[in-house]
Amino acid sequence: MSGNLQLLADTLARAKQENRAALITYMTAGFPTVNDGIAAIQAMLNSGADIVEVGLPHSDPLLDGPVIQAADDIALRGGVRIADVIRTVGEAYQATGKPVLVMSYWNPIDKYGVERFSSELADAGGAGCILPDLPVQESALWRESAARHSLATIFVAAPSTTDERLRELAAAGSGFIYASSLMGVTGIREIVNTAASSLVQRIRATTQLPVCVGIGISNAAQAAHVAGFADGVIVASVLVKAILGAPDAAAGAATVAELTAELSLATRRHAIEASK
Amino acid sequence: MLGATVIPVTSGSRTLKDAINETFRDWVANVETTHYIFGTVGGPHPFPAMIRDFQRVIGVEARRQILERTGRLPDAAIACVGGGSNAIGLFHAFLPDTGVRLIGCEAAGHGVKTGKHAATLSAGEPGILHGSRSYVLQDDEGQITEPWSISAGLDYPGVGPEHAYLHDTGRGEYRPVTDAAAMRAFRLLASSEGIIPAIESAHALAGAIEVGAELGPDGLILVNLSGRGDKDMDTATRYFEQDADAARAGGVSK
Repeated sequence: MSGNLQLLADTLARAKQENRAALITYMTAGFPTVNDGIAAIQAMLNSGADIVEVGLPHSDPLLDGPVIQAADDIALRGGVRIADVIRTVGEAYQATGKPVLVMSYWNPIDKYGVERFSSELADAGGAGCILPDLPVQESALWRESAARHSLATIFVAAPSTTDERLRELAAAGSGFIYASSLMGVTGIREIVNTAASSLVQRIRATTQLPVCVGIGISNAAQAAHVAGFADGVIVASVLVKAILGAPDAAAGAATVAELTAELSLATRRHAIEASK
Repeated sequence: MLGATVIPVTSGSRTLKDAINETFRDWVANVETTHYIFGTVGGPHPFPAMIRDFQRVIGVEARRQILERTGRLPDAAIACVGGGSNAIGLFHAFLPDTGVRLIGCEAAGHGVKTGKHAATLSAGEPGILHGSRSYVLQDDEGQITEPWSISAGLDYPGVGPEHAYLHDTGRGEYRPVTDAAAMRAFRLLASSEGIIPAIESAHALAGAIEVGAELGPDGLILVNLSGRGDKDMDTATRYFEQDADAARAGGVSK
């Protein structure tokens, strides 16, 4: 089976046609257990998320703040394996037909084997990978394998990324470009940093690829604001935190579904206003 | 301490690698106003080269002094290796001197076969940690594992990438030194010379004892005594008390 890069591209294009930003939500695989994680992901996809990112838990998640670190710790202590991450992707895709991405640090994929990982991800119906710590100049082997299996290669750009570097990311990337709204790690912030919109502008000057903004976006007002200038809004920590704070798995999945529905409505706000 | 604010790290396994993780997380958020003073020759480019250049005065001066005192280059230059900053500082000046063996002593903890060690080059494999590809201690799916050493400074599951290069090219030799061997060397230097070495540096001394036995009485060895042991008195006291207890209980003295 070939990967779902095209489904990802079509999903982002359709959101654009509908005059809204796509909603991309995140959940760590194997958290709090593999099956409960799958249930939470399916709840998000059934409540208005267009695309989902499945986190591959890592011992050293450098881009992540305390919430996702805690989820990774719980998943790893629970004994989650890469096979479980792939199964999570497969079940989420099979149940919803929506694009499912993996977000992973590079070392687990490097160790597992680039070809083995990309072929198994494609077979499960995955759409691609977000690779925050893979430098673009070291990415040729991955990109070759990803292209062969129709998987997206999504690089992360930061406000400090130079225009020259943005051109390299845009040329090497596929699916979309992940723009970090701020300098820092994942987590919940009070306000959306003003750096986000200028970064999106600079990225658009280099590429036709959609630009999705994440890191530090956790409520409907922030999602609506970002939907005003980005093709996609990425939300992670607030959803993971909902599961961390839930009395049981069913309650966690219900809260995640509620939050997703609110966020989804917010990304459509511009579409609603435009139709008035 | 000395006017600095010390912030304990509570994430992950709460060891040196987690302190580096937390520093990176803070740094990326404050990069415009903050410089990261990396303690070792690890991390992303250009840190390994920068730190090496800051440390290279060790080798430059040691090479000059040993030539002045003995009229020849040593047979071996020996240093302890955690991340490997003092070792690369010593080795760098001797890289062109191919007659000088460059020997790094890694922390073998309770022994490389026990799994409780920090001997990354002796028992690890290639992987990515803290922004560089080098040797790391990891499980079969690329999760970094927790290292062990009696010395806090060697308790790191990675190693500077230049050491990985010297290891792979054969220019450097890396050997594991257990906690017990390091503590024997610690005691020997303290009792024979009145110098208390850092437990990290005692790993280099233990390696020198082994290499000295191999070279014989004409051998000339340069050891990097990279740190002082007054910081380690609590650890050493605890270790030697337990050692004495074990001996009294009829065990074999380490």
